[in-house]
Amino acid sequence: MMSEQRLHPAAIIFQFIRSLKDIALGLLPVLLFTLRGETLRYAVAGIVILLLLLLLLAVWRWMRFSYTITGDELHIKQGIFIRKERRISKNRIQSIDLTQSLIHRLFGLTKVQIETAGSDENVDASLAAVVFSEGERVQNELKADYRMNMEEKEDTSKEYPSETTGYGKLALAGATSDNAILIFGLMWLLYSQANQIIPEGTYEQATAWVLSLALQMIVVIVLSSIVIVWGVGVLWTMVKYAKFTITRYERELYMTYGLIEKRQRTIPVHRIQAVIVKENLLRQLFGLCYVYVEVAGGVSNGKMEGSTVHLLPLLTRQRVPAFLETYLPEYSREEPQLKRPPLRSLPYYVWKGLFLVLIAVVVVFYVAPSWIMVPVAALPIFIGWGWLCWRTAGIKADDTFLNLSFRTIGRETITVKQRRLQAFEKRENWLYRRQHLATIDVAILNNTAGRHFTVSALEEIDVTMASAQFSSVPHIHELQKRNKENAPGDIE
Amino acid sequence: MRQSPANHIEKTAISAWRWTAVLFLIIPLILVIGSVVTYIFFSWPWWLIAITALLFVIDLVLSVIVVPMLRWRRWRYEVFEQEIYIQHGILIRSRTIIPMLRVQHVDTKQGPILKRFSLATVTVSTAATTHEIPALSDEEASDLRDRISELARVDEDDV
Repeated sequence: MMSEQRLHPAAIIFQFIRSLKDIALGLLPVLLFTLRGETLRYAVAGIVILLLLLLLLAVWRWMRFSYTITGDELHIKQGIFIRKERRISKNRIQSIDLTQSLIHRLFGLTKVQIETAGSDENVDASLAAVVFSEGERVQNELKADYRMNMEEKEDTSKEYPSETTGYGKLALAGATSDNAILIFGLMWLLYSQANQIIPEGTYEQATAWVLSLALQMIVVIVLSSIVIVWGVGVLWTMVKYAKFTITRYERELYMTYGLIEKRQRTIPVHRIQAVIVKENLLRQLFGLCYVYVEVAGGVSNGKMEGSTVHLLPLLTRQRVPAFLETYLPEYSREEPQLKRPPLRSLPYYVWKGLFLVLIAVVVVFYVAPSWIMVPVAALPIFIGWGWLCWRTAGIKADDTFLNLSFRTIGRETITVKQRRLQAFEKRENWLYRRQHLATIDVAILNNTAGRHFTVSALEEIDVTMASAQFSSVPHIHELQKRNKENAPGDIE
Repeated sequence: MRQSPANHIEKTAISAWRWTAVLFLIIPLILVIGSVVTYIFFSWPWWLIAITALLFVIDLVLSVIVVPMLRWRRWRYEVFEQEIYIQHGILIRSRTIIPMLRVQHVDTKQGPILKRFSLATVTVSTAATTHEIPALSDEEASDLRDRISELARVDEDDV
């Protein structure tokens, strides 16, 4: 038993910042029109009053927020005008994570995020700021029942698999991230266009020598700033994922990482919906990838790190089966032997990319014919992209797993348990039907609206075999027409 | 998924859809009126009227006459012990299997037009997706709803 507890006063700051962020967008246009001339004075006064009001509200809210741990439940009271009381019983709690932002760390505080079963945001709770020791106390107090997982953690007699990613690997991860690709692309574009940017005529004039020099300077500056941005990206990855440690306990995966912001993530294994191996083009070249999982439920107050959770920032593709074997034996699998779409489906993949470019070509042709080369130059890129997507697509189903692979930007290879699928859809248009092709679309649950995985224009037989694995009614997957009169399982 | 589901939806659905389409004809109709008005008062070119009229006729033929027929023919459903099987889509035929285990709730709903034809739509929701079986007769819809919710009432899986 303990008395009602308040949050640390720093919670006022978080509340203040949050409400400021909420109204900032709506207020901006008003400010733009009033922050000038004679209305300036009123505008400033208005802003000051508003800020004071927000601060007052934040303080008030802080005063009205209290929590108690009694016996076997956490009891939270909150709300200024509408009082809300929430009781969360210990055995409903799935995980308790301590997260520290920069501000938290300055004051020696922590945020406590409590996730329950169920995917309802309103059932979860979070304490915005408490002293770190208090956070640990709450965690300890509530943990008792939550599947005895802490005991397991403290049980030193058993070795749990655990590993920490080194800074070298993190640097590599940052250097080959999606942003890095974007930056490399920009660099290449600038480099290849450098000559076109400098108008040809200027070369002919002796006086333009200086001008071209200046232009070259600009190019150099731009290029070097891009390199700097890239370097910052690398550093940022290293800071964000510093000391990335993954540990597998009996029923959970547990991750900690971050140099400035320290994060903990506890993922109950039974809530994992899909395991996805993702490689962008650059990483694919070097045989690198990362592994992430889609997790159902547990909304941490709209935080961006929602349902997709990295298991490792970077690993070699070859290591994936071994990694899963160690940390996620539930999803342990060999490198799946995916069935690729046939050659006759290539046109559909190419067409998808081509369609947009063709529209662009037509539009540009009518609007600005002198720029026609830009979309025309994009044609081979998009054709190549379609070809890549076709090369990437694949499907494989056995009695437990469904493996799909596809490309949006990076190549994603997903492994999902058949029984986790929310819906299984097969789509064909009449061209597909004539050519025995089909599109598969499966849905899984995550903590937002769910996620669909779609792979187009596969061999129809492969999709049907997958659906037959998934379904409990064999006859609908068979070829021959069935007898209407005594179809089994029918309802009137 | 090679066999179509066994059951058709109610045939009166075609009429219901036709009436809905007739109501939506108001949009091309407004365009026609607009083009006539602009022709008379602002002397915009006459061929605008021709184009909008053509659009009106095309819309009439497609959405009122052709599409409801095709749509009815394609819409099929079948409810098994452990899954729901739905087929729909005119240009792109899609067949969906929803495991009973994943069904979260089943609703029936009825708009004013469906009500006139005493039809109702059954909506099946999973945690991630929503599926419809449109235009069943009233009793059939509520029977189906009850049956599905009966079948879906298995022990809650962990997630």
